[in-house]
Amino acid sequence: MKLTTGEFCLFNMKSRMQLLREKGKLLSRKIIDERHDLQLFMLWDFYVEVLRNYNEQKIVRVEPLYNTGLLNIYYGYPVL
Amino acid sequence: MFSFDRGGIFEKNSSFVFMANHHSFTDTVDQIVTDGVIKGILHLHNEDECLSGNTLVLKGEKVVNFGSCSYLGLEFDRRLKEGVKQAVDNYGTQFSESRAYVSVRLYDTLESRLRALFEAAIVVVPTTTLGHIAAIPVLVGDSDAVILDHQVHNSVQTAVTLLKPRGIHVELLRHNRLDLLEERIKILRQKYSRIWYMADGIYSMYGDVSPVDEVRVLMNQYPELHYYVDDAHGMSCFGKHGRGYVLGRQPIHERMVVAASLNKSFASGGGALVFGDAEMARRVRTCGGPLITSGPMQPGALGAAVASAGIHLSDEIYSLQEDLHENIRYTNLLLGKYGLPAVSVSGTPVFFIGVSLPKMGYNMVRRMFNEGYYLNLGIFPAVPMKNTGVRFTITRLHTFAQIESMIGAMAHHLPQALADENISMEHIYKAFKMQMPEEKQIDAEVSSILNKADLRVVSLKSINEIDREEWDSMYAGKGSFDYEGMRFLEQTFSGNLLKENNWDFDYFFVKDRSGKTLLAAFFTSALAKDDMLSPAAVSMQLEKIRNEGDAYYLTSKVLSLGSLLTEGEHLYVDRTSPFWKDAMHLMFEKISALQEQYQAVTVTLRDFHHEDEEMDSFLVDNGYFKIRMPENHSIDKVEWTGKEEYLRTLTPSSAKHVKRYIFRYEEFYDTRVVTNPSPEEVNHWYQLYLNVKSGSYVINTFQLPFKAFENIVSGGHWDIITLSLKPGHEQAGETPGKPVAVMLNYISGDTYNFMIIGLDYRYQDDFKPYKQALYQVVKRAQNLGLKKIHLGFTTSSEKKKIGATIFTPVAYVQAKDNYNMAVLGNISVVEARL
Repeated sequence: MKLTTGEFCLFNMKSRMQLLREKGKLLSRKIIDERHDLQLFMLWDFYVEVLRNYNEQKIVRVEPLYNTGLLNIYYGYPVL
Repeated sequence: MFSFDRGGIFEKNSSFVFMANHHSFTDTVDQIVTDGVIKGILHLHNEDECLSGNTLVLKGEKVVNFGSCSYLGLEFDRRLKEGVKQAVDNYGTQFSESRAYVSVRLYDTLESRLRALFEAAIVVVPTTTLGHIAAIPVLVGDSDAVILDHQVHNSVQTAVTLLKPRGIHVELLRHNRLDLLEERIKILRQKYSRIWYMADGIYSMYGDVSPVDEVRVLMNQYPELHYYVDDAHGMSCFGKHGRGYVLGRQPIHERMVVAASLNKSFASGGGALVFGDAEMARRVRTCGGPLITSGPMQPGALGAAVASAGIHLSDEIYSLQEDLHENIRYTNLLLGKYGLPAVSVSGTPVFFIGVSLPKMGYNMVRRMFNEGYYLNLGIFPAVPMKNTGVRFTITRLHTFAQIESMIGAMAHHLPQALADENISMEHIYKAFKMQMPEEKQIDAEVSSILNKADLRVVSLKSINEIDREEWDSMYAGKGSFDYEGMRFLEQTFSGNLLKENNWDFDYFFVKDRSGKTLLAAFFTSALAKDDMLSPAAVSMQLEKIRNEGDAYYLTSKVLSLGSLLTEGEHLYVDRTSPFWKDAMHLMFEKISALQEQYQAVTVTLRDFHHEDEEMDSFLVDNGYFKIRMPENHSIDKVEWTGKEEYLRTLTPSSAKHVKRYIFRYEEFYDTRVVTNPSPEEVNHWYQLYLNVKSGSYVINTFQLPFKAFENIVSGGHWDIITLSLKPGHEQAGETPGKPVAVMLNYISGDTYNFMIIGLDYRYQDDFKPYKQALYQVVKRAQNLGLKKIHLGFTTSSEKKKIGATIFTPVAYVQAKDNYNMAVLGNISVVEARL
């Protein structure tokens, strides 16, 4: 059963990650700097962006991506 | 039709409401639980070698457990397990001494930690239930009053019963109705020192909560108000250091006691009582029965509790709570999206999906089990019969995927179970008084019409609209409700001044395509006394209240199959038809509609044979609980002629009794069959009836109106017998020949129905008119050549002696609201006798 972006945002970061693991599809990954990367997920009918400290394996932020214009920044990278 | 003893005197023909006595209650619970065991839903045992998460192996299948009350999943925490091991290593498997003497030292550690956790005085108890039993009798003083929330946990109600022998005032409050609570406080505070309002923090079935903040406002307003809350399900899941739902909302008040369980989320076993007043805690610790005479928490549990308390006192508890609340949030979201009839949405880990009738509950729980989910059946007595549901709990250990797949499965199976059981979604929403989504309502109506297209329902309001021959073909000889009997009832119980004497009549037929009647029944809706079958002492107390001005105290509308005045097989159903159950379903729908129309609190389907297992199972599955009616009596074969032959039909001891107490006295009486009585005679008979009625509490009913007697003497099917003492035996000043007993009997087919009696008590010792009356009834039936005599309820010993056989019919009851019954159940019989 789909959640809306508003409903998705009711949950804390841990739960959002659980939903992404269980329901989401990883579309792409982009390294931002030497410590952080961005992951783009498709979750039901919206996109979710995950900012991660990959050195520490720590999630920093999990938010829906409302501005789909930003999707272009992912397209230069292969979908994993 | 009833008759019963009052020192040898009895009344007949009383109204009929069923107040389940304790025995019937136990029988019903036994029946339901046994049914659940047979269906493989209850009394299960897991088959896992060990447990480590939220799955169980039951009946060879691995299922996800949605029934655990260990909401934080701490039972698998390594630190708690180590705490148990270390405690057992240090102190053994048990420390078997009363805490009044010596406690194992772990108690000190635990109590110290719990004091810090609650920031209040505490007493550790072996279980929450024992905590209630220890605390309530100590806390509640003889000059106090107790108000129980209608849905407060059974363990609190059990402890409160210990107050009854002390004559302490106990009453029930409709669930969470604080407006009514305030009204009662205003009244009770004038008479009682303290008023204890007892409630649950989180209610264990529907998962709804006590309005803690509002109670606090009342406590501040009324210094007499004390708040005793069982927060077993809230412990650990809410509040600072996991101190629970109640104390998570408000700090403890000096007039507040909270019972917390350590046997749910705390994961150790045991319980704790939390007090706003340290002196209260001291007294409970010193005087609480189980704390003096019962065993303590054992070292293993104490070791786990100390470790758990350590977690609660750290910040880790908040992370555990948050995980749980995320799961609860997700569950609530999905229940809404799938449109499941969740009975309460309150942010607690307890959920209840309403399914209405027990058979639906069994069906759904079984289906969910087959899908790999173990859920609880929420059934009577935990909830009313018509409010059966699938109860499930969410813990921190569940994953979103488990939650979604379980709810998705429930949404998938609910329509199929509804179809299996011939129940509509509308029925469920109605049972729980919930608004139904409009489109589902339309679907349900269409489906209902299609399912029942082959059967035709006829509803009528008066016997005059029905063909006499057709009615009598079904009902003649079955009681006093043949065609003429119904006319008598309609004429008598309409157009009266008193509301209890005005009944609503409804006739109901289900016919098949050919016009053949598959089912026929008549229903009456009437006001009745809720204590009708309560102990006489309780009725005496209630009558005192009624006589003091509150004439309708604890009375309510009852919708009865049959009527309050008739007795026998009121339901005609053609069991040879393959559609008889469909016809019954149509009758249930009619009953629901009538119940709503007349605002009847109780529905009673009565006079069923107690050994009819198929009907029994069918009615219970459809939400009725069975109760035993009082013993009934009949003489089924009147085949003797003359006294000697009659005596030979009796046992030797009964024959001896009849000779000694009946035949010997017969010569003192003039027995008359009266056909055209004068108004004075009728008036005298009514007074004789009132003599019996006025002192009769065993079956407590409204008295018949005088109009009933007027209609009886003008009706063709009635047969009236009077007993008058021969001249010279009357008391001084009495008119010779004036009747000392009158028996009003109804003839239907070949059956003689003994309906009403009036007696002059003054002659009871010397001339035994009651025994004589019984015999004369039998003799009259024989003289008329009738084959069968119905003698009515109770006075078994007397009726047995004149040759009656005893049978115990059963009734099936469905209460929309069991509040009045619960109030009755809490009236102290001891108090009533004062």
